[in-house]
This record gives sequence, C-alpha cells and structure tokens, in this order.
Amino acid sequence: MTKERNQVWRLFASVKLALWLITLLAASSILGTIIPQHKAPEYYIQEYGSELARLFQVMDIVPNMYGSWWFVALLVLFSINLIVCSLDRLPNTWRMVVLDNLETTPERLQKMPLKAEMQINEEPAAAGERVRRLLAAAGWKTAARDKEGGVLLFSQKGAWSRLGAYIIHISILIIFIGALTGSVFGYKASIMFPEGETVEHLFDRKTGQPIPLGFRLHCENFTIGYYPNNMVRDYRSDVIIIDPEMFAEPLRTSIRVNHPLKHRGLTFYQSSYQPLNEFLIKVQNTKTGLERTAMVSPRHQVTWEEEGVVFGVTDTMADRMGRVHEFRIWFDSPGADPSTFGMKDKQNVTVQRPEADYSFYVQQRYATGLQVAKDPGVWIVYLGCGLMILGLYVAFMITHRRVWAYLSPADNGGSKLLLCGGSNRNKASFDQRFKELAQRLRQDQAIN
Amino acid sequence: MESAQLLNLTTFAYLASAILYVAILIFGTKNKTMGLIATLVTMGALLLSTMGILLRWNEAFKLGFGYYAPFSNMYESLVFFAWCIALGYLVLEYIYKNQTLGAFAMPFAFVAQAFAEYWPQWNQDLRPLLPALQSNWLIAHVIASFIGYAAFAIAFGMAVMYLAKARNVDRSGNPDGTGLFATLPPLKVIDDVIYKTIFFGFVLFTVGGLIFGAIWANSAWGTYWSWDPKETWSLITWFVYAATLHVRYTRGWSGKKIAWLAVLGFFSTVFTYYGVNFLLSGLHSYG
Repeated sequence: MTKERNQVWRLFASVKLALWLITLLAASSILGTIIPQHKAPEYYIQEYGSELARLFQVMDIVPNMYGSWWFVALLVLFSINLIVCSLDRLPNTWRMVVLDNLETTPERLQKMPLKAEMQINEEPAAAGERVRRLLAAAGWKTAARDKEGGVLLFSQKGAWSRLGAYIIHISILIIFIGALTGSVFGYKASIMFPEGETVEHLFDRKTGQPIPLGFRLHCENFTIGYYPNNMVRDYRSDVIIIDPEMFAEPLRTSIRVNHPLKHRGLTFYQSSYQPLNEFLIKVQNTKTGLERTAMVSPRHQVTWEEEGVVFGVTDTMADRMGRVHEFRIWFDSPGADPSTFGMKDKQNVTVQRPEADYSFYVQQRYATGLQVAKDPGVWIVYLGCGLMILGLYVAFMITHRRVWAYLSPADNGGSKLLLCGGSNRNKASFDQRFKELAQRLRQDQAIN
Repeated sequence: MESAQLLNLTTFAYLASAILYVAILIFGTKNKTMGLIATLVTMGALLLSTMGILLRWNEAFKLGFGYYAPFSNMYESLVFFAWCIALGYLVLEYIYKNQTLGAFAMPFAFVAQAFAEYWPQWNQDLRPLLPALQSNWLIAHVIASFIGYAAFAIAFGMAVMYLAKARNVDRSGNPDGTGLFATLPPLKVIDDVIYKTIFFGFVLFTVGGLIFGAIWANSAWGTYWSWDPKETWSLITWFVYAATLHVRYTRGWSGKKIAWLAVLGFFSTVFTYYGVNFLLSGLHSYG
C-alpha cells in the first residue's frame, strides 16, 4: 500500500470525519426544512426576491435540496466513511470475539479489574473440577487448560455482542441500497378515474407520461364513510382487478387509507377523490318490481318508456368540496301531475302514485384518486430496518462478560483460587454479579 | 368523573410532586417522611394520568369513534409525554435510590402537562381519527417516540444537574461539591445516568420514531421517507444523539462535554416535537 493511499484510507477510517459529515448533513438538512421544497420557481422569487431565488437555484437548494448533487455527494461520502471505518476496526473486534482467552497468563489475570482470592483444601486438579461444577451451576460453562502447574478455567457470555455496532452500520448501508434500488427501478404515479370506469394506464408523477399497467383496474364504487359528528372516517374505493394472466376470475377488492392494494409489484393508495356533477338514479315500480337505472346530469330528463315515466334532477345542494347532500327530483308518471321532491344522497324515497308506488334511490358519482408506487427497494429498506433493530439490541442490551478461575498449587498441598473477570459495558451491574458469584463459591465447604 | 377533570387534577399532582422534590433538594434528603410523600405523590399523579388517559380512550369508544388512540393530537401527546417523564423518573429513582434527581425531572412533567392543559392553542375536544391516523403503527410509533422523547428530557434534566454541580465543584475545589450540591449524586453517577438515558432514548427513538414512522408513512402514503420537515428534524435529532454515543465510545468523551450534547440534543428534540408543527409546514401537522 502506498503512503498516499494509506492517508486516504486513514482519513475515511476516522471517526472525526464521520462526526464532521454528520454535522454537515444535519446542518444542511435544517436548510431544507427552512426553505420550503418542491415549490414552483415563482414561489421562490416572490418569497425571497429574484437574486436570492437565483442563488438557491444555482446552489441546488431548491426545488429539491435532498436530491441535489452536493447533498447526495455528502451521503456518498458518509457511506464510504461508514464502510471504511467499519472495515478498519472490524479485524480488531473480530480478534476479541474469537480470542482464545485460555492463552492468558496468571500475571495478566492479576491485573483484571475484578478479582477474588480463595483457598481450597484439594490439589489443583480436583479443585478445578469442583470449581468447574460450581461455576456451571451458576450458569458459567467453562473450558479448561493446564497452566503452569495449575488449571485455568474460562467462561464468557455475549462475545459476539461486540459486533452490534457493525450490524447497525451494515443496516444503514442496506437501507441506502434499498432507497437507491427504489429510486432507480421504481416510480411514483397516480390515476384519477370515475366510478364505473376501467383504466389500463397510470401517469408518472414527475413526467406526466402514461405507463401501461399490464392489467385492467375497474372502479365499482367510491365511498366516504362518516363519524356520527360528520367528520370523515374512511375513504374507500371498491375495485375489480381484471388480469386474466394472474386470476381466471376478476378479483373484487377494496382500497382504503392505510390499507393499500398490492398487485404485480405495484401498490395502490387511496389518496384523493373528486365529486362529479352526475347522479345515478334507480327507480323501481314496487308493484311490478321492474327497475330502471340511469346516470343523469342536472336538468336532463330521462324517459322510462315501458312505464311511461319521466324523471330527472332539477337542483342540488353541495358543500364546498362539491359533495351533494340534497337533491331535488322531478318526476312524472301517467297517473298524476308531475311533482318534485327532495331526497338525500344514498337514500331511498318512495313516491305514491295512483297506479303504483315508485321507489327512488339516488347517488352522486365520484372519481377516485389513487397514488401508485412501484418500489422494489422497499423490502431491502425494511430488511435494513429489521437488522438495525437487531443491531441496537445487540449493541446496547448485551454485554460481553468474561470470567476466569485459576487454580494453582498452594504450599499446604491444597490450592489457591484466583477468580477474576470483566465486562465491556454495564460495569456496575457486572460488579454486583461478580461479587455474588464469589460469594457463591465461598459457600462451598471446601473453599474459604 | 370525566377524563378532562382527572387530567386537570394530574397537573396539580405533578406540580405538588415537583415542589416536593425541589424542597428535598433544598432542605436535604434527611427527612425520610418528605421523601416518601414525594414518591407517593408522584405515583398518585401517574395513576391519575393513567386513569385520565384510559377514561379518555373509553369516552372515544362510547362516542362511536371505533378505532381510536389517545395520542392523536398535540394535547394528547403532551399528556402522554408528561406521563412518560413521570414513569421514567420513578424508574430512575428506584434504580439509583436518590431523590435529588426528582427536582431535575418532575418539573418537566409538570411543564408538559400544564402546557397541555392551559395553552389556549390546543383543541382538547375529543375528535375521531382522520383516516390516515387509523393504524396500529400509529400507536407503536407514538408510544415509542414519546418514551424516547421523555428519556431525552430526563437526560437534559440530568445534564443541567451535572453542569450545575460541576461548576460548583470547579469553584469550590471540593470534589463532592458544597452546600446543596453536596447532596446531589457524585458527578460520575450523574454522568452514568445521562449516558444511560440517552442510549435508552436513542434505541426507542430509532425504532419507534424513525423505523415505525417510516413503515406507517409507507402504508398510508406510499413513501417511507419524504424529507418532510418532521422527518428531517427527527433525523437531525437522531444525528445529534448518534454523534453523542460515538464520541463517548470512540473518543472517550464524558462529563461536561456529554452533558452539553444532551442539552443540544434536547433542544433538537423539542424542535422536532413542537417547533416543526408551528414554525414549518408539512404532513405531520396533527402532532
């Protein structure tokens, strides 16, 4: 490795650079929350004046700072930093994970932070067996090795928890890869279509270009559900997927907010709606049971020839969204003079006539607006998130704890026991556990 | 009894608790009865708040709201925030067996609760959930985020405590502090509390605030991340605490430096929670 390359590597392996990049990313992110993003050029000129607006444009701060070359460059530098930092430190950490802890020497054990010394009235081999059993009963399964005329026992827990930080770092990179996959191979699109219609294309949200769906989507019904206090409870589109390659029968299903529809790698989200100035009227002669359904515009009459009946909508009362609450219906049948009556959306009203009763049902026609996302990267992102949770758990909740027991011959024919240990975090709680362990050993009749 | 009354009473209970802990700090920890009363009052306040929140949930159910979660607007989230701080503090008191910590934690619970109850801007009416908010991810996201926020608030209180004591130690030259500073836990212990609450908050905030939030956003809007101001600010907050943990692990920072980072992180947290909704515009306008 040349000296130059070594310097570049050292730069990217430094936590200092990581801290600088994090600071820069955070500071520039703030900028993007203060200057609104994704607005029309005129907005910026109006808000900030033409000179500042030009500067923002040149600096790529608007309309999309988070996609600008320099912000992406910061993210790329951050990723490289993350990779190099991890690779640089991994070998050392790995050595700690796979370290042969029986290779240590009694001198080094004497320097451990936690120590307890005891006497056992047996020679080292028998005492070793006794201590091994006691430690195992306390939950520490040991490995043993003869050492300098004595026996060394060792046990550890959570050695692999030292890898937790690396799991978190890898998970961040996986999330980046997922986001990149989504932005390269995916798209966002939308469609708005009325009840009763079928679509075969989407429209790309950025370019407005049509994208073929590869199947047909039919909207049967769009419904707004209300709470008792008239706040909106639910928006629902009842749709039919017509896709002979996948389903022999058309598939009837619905799309609600928070309950998107997934089909062929596309996800359909309920996002908006449009009340139309068209009304579905259903009239039924309750005596004969005959029925006529018609889609009418205001002030256009419909003739039902078999019954000699004429009807239409003369007037509507709508809110500011264009949702009609009340209809004025005009109705004429052979047996009596024409009449008008009021009725509410999606209600049934029966009109009595000398020749028969007629049941009316009226419903405003809506168009449903769907957002469509194709994001093959989302599962990679979720995988990264899952791994991050695992990494956080390992890194913060699991501690690498080590316990050694060294038995050496004593002058009186018995042996000396040196119990020692350490942990890489939560030192206070391990202190306590170590004391309890020593206490437990002392309770044995052969040990004091 | 209505939830509104219970939650209003909670405010006074938090106030009483905060005053008691400040009194303990000033008059010393020798009076065991006062200590016991402070703990009991805090437990009582937490119980009142719990009952208030559950009752509110029940009232929503009775009004025919169907799916509801009592964390769906600024008012409810502040009440829950105060609840998390009170619970978090009681846990700390239990672990560290030191009541002087209370004077730096319970006032925050009181401020949050009083802010919820008396700030004229909030609508305290029980209103049903908008379609986008009807999701189990909402419950998971909000609960975990607020436990995280509460941990950051407590870390902030402990950082203030640390900085005050460190100043006293520097000036007096006495490593244990003088006067009422001597009754505070040793600096090393406070440093440990700051670091532990930060990492606890960091885990909850990462999992609940960022990950669950992203999953919810994806199921409601079709994008797990849209650089909306709330999302961006939570990322900034995350950066601050991530940096704090890294300087602690890899550069061995502790003491005053970490305390100042805890202060900075909490300012960022407050801005993420409160500032974004009122100073910037975005998707997250409900709380």
